[in-house]
Amino acid sequence: MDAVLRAAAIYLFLLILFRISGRRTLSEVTTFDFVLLMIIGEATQQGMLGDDFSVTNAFLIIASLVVMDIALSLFKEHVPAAGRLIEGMPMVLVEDGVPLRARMKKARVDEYDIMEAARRSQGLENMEDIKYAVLEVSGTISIIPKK
Amino acid sequence: MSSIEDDDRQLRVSRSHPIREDMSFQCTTWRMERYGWVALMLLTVLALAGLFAEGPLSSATAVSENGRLEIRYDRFARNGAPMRMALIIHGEGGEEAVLRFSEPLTDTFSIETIRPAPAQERGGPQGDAYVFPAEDRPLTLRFALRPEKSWLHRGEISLDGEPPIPLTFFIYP
Repeated sequence: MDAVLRAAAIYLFLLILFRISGRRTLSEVTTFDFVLLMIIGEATQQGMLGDDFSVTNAFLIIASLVVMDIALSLFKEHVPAAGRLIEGMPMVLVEDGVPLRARMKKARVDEYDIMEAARRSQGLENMEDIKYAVLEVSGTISIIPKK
Repeated sequence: MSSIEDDDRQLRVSRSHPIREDMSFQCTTWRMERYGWVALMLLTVLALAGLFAEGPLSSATAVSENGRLEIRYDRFARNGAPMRMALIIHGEGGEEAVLRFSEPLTDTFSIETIRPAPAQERGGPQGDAYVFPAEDRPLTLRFALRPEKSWLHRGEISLDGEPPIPLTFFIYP
């Protein structure tokens, strides 16, 4: 029982924490973000396993986490509003070469981030070449170039 | 170019192409994010203050009515994490001291080490008793404990059958 409850508590806490921190916080995986994610993983692991290092405990925790993830995805499928709440929605940041600065400021994205995504995915050099830049649910920026 | 009205329009008008937006929902999300940040900061500050064990909010001192027994302990502890407690016995030396831990207390905590070690340990229906030989006073006893249960727990510690000191602990899961 303890293993399932531990896994559930950690799952919920991380779900809320990552929702609160905003999608941009750990989305662009720089080296430091990667290290930070690893440290979060380490800290989580201790709390989840407790002092029970048995294989059974590991099985139970992994199974609980996967079950909760499946349950959540089913829930999101049946209640789209909940899905939006948990994952958020995509949003346009640049339209016809014009950056929507009020949105960018709120979403903590700057022009450098957008141009980086434009260079990397489309090889674009100028803001004017971007038809749309979309901040996706995952926190990445998609670029649709002008034809 | 950018004006206040323009900013406002950006945050209010939802597009349906190339993706379907919901800006009112988005603005609510941002607001919730900000509240969340404040909550996280508050959590960090409270952790520094000791609400989650080990800190000014957590450390407490209890003294028996006649002042012979003083207990320095943590109000807040975490299940499975080591916890320290100091018991100081004041007064005249020369006689052996008998410390009795009430049953709920011995049930909640496992006592890992006691320094200096007691001369004798006795179990009993009212909890465990530890006997310390006659020594100079004040005598400071250091207990290393480990909570084994969560949530709110009460217990008592008494010296030589005198009125006990009630203690309340909150143990985080």
